Amino acid sequence: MEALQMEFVRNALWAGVLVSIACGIMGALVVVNRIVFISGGIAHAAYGGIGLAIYVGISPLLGATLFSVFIALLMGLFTFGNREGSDTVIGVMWAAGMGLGIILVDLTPGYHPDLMSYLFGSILAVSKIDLCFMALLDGLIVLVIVLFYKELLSFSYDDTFSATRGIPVRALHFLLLVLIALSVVMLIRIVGLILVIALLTIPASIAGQYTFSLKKMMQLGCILGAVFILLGLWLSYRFDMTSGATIVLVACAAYLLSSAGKTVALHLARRQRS
Amino acid sequence: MNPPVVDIEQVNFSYASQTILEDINLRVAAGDFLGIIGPNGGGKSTLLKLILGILVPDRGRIRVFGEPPGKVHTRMGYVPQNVHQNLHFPIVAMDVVLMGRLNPRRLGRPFSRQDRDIAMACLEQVEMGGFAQRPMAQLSGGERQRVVIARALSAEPDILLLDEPTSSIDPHFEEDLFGILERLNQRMTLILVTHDIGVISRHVRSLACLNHTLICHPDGQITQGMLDATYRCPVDLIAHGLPHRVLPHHPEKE
Repeated sequence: MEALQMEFVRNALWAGVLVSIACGIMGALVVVNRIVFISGGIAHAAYGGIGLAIYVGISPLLGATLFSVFIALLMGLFTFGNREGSDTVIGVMWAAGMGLGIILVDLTPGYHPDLMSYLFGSILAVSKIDLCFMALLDGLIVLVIVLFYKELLSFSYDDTFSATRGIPVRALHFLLLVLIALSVVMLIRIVGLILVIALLTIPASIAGQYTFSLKKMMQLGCILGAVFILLGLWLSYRFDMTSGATIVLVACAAYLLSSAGKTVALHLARRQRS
Repeated sequence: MNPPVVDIEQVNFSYASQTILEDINLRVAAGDFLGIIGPNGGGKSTLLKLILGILVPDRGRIRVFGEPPGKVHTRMGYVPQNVHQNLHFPIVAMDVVLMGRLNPRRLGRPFSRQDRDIAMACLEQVEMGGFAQRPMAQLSGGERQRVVIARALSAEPDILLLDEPTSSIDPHFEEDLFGILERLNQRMTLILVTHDIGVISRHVRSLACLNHTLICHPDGQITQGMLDATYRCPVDLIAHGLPHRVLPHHPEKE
């Protein structure tokens, strides 16, 4: 408990709660739209933005934000109306972003010890400014969902039909990817860009196993995300392990347990009927 | 005479370099029930999407209610082909039907009481009133098909476009479906697309055959000559409503 006396621990806890809102809401949209690969691509390509920021000497987080939004828009161009058929292009952008980041860091003189934190996260180094950025982003996400929930639901379920109703499906597609890019940047602080995809998919897909409404999937996803992050944080503190990786492993274990439980329950129900 | 509900003049459409539709001319009168038959890949779904304004023709002109399709999409109801897509999507029947109430002019505002009442009435029209809060994943193929028809109806359309509504539903529901469609036809124009010749010929008022080009038969009779021209191979006219595939003749292999 004495850990709570320290500001960086309190900041970490706040960060965990704040990112879980983005996890739950955007995660649900990622899962039901089956754009996990696109989201992974944006997350990894964000490294290009970090490299670029270090090269020109601006804040890496600002670089990552601008660059991942740019990548999201570019991916939007290639994937609109062709969500499944653009695997290769996503893979190329995924790799190109990372490659660019590495080369730009090489070209910048000096040693950059904090680079690892962007790859694997550093929730214990979250600052007050980071927390403000996260709160602002959560506010934006919640606002968009409250305003456009029915359009996003419809677009996610059947974009062709939505288009016949005159819904701006193209704009929604880009909006979705930009919000994912911003969430990715936020999650990079917590678990690092390599593990972002875990927090963007696992809480939401576990939630999806227990509900038949996108709204409830988002709510449950938020709660699960917060539980995984806080539990992972405590375990990493208790056993002195890397926080980002511990959080992700907690989430993975929960996913495994939930899926196994679901399978067993289904099996028992079937046996009871016959 | 009233102007045609759908008026298509000399329309061409191609994907990449492949021509899908060539020199299509079609006029659909108000109150008609038009069946369009043709082989898979003949361009049937594409033609519907052109009428809906989701696709734009390379050449030619399409008018629906005398306007370009993009201006009148709120007057069109659409029942897309694949009701099995997104099977595990977390959504209940009512939310699917409400999609028909979407309107770009009410973007960002929640559905009204009236929207919900209309959606519910449409579910009842297809005898699915008791299924409003049932997840789509727990419905059978026929039930999902009804929900998707209710969705199209909740838009309160003046014309209904149906893409293969009989594919993968049980024969029992097939008769029900045509009962529903005949009732709807009393107040709206219908266009139904299918590769299932046996089913369609008993119910439609007029008929067209589509395989890249379109041949219209306003009296609704299928003739052997029409089928041969469309499928480019001999087709058995007696199909008994059973699903069957029509394969082209391959003389080069013999």
